[in-house]
Amino acid sequence: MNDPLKNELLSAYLDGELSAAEQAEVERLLAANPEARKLLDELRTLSSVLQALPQAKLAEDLTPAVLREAEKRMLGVSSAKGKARSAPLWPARLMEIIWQHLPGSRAIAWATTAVAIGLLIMLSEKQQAMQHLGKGDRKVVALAPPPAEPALQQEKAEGGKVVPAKPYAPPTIQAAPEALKSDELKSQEPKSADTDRKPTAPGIAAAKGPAPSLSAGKPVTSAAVPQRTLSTEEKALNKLKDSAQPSPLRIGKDVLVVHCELTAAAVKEQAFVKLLKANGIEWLPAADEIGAPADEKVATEKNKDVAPERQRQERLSRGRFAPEPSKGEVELVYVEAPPAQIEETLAALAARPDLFAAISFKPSEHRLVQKAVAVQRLQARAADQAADAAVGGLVERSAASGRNFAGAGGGMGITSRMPESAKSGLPRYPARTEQTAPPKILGQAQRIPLPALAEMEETPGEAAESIAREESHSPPQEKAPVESRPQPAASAEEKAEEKIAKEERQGEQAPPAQPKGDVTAVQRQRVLFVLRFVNGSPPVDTQ
Amino acid sequence: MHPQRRPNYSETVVSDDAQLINSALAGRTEAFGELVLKYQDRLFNTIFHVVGHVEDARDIVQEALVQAFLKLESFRSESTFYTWLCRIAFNMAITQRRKQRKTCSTWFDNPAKASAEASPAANLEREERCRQVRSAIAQLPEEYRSVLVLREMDGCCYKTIAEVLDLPIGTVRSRLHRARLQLREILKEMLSEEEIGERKQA
Repeated sequence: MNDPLKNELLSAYLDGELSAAEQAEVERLLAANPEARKLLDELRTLSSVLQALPQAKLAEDLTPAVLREAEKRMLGVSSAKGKARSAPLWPARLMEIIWQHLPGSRAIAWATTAVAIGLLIMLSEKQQAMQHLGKGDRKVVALAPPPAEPALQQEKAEGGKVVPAKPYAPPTIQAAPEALKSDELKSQEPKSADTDRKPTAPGIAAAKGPAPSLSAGKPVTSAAVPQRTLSTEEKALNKLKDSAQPSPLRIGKDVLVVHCELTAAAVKEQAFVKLLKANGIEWLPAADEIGAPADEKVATEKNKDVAPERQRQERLSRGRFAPEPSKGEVELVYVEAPPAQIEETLAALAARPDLFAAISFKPSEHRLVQKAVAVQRLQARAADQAADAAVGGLVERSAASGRNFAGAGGGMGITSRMPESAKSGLPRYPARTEQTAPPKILGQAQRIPLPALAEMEETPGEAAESIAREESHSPPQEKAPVESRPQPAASAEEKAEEKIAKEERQGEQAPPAQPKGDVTAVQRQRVLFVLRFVNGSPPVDTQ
Repeated sequence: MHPQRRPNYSETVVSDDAQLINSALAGRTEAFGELVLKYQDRLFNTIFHVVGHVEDARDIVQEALVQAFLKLESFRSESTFYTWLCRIAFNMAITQRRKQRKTCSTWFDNPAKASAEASPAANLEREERCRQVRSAIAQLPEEYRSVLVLREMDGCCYKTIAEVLDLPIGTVRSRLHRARLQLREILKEMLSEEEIGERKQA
């Protein structure tokens, strides 16, 4: 019984892990060899002794701890303790208000939070920007553009057996305009001693609090434009974390949040809309079209029945998607598409610094960002070689300007900005593109409405109230020539927003059918674009 | 062929798990909560016997569950959820062990804490025997211990052990056998008593 191999066979025999041949061999051995029988007995005894050990059990259910910790990580909040709790009021209130206005689904809360965080991040960044530049002639307007909720539809359409691909994703997204408004108000402060405007309300003050210290953060890309720092975002997130809110946050790490600044030119040309389309991402019907089955719509689109599409485009351009460039405005666009599409879209976005002035991502280490970075670098190299070739498609027209996604060096956001000087002289976005056959539609985009301002006003809470007050007092005396353009009546806008919001809620109950075929079959990446319209860019010639 | 009290961890729960995983992926975190509840004790028992320390084992289990939640998307149904989870936990245990370089003296220093299942009236003799066995397990080299614990405490088949530890099945088989032989040496005395007792019962 000294053959180690046969020894092993005994052990495996005990465990019932032998092939038939091996088993026969061991049985022959056992029959012939008493030593082997003895060893087998010992092993068996040992085994039963081990298995008789009492089971160690945990005294507690780990679920809450696990989910809490996972949530923190998803938010990118380090578990470092002892963060200053100096200004938790603002985000806490914000979250509370959002929460109160939600139809109650956890998933919606998730989405809302994601957006709120995005806005918070933007807010801090912008504040900072203003502090650095002292230019305060931007104004963010309450916004609540149309449509419906794609993810929710998809989820319902898929029923119980959801494709295990897109975790923790928001079925629908709504967001909080306070962030924008307070941000905007704040941003106007340095501009003039405008008596109309009240000094910052408590909530806003709280939000403002951390900004100055942030400028000590990491250096950023361009001289012309103010700094963003990674710590800015972290701060915002930390504030959320510290807000002691029993929060329902479940931030999906796989939802990529992309902040993007659109220049006036981009707005005018609807560059973003076109860019998505050029990359095979179609716009989902607006809320008022939701009645019809989505399959039909897709079919319609594909059948070059251009009329409804044109209408939609018109609505897009007429509506809030093409805001007055003089008014800073924020638009949320939710996109679901196969990763490849998203990747291309990001690369295309990065390739047009003249239109999309600044891009940042959260999380920056997202694999698609990484990929897009690689793609973009490749293209930049190619573009260098091909010097100033003619303006091609979107993706081809890459970053010869040397603009890059900033390195993904840790942290939660990366930013790239292009010097103002570099912007001039870049070819404009090619008026889109009947030359190239439109790609197969693989993804979908939808604008996300923000809750109407009026609704927010009703909520008790200093933040909301003060913000609303401030909003109503904010003077429309910006300078730029564009500014004289007629502005849509705010009240009408609000009403429309409310209507849309309602419709959307209804749509939730009776979601339209999801387009079938490749659109649903493919794994999809969810991206939330936070588009900000910049009016700092040179005035655009009129049509 | 041997009447062993092996924990009855049915692998037929796989389809249930798949449902829960899909639910969790669709955003229903409570589904993941169910998975946590379902597996935390099993995993804890296993990891506890590998690392030999209640607090460490708890931390590892929790962290493994967090990681599983965060990486759930990357879970492929080629293996069972538990196998996958186990693999995460074992990797963590290894990492942690490298970091901490704990001495064996801290091992199983408070087994009573962990053995909540033991009846309060458990006699001293039995407790002493548990202590002996655990201490013997702790003396095994780590690579033997892992295999042995996965087999004997967790009831894993060789294939699963191979997946968890990322080893060829042949290696699992030989390590397991060596682990048993070593343990047999350490527990020689106790085992002979045990054997005598068994024979008497028979």
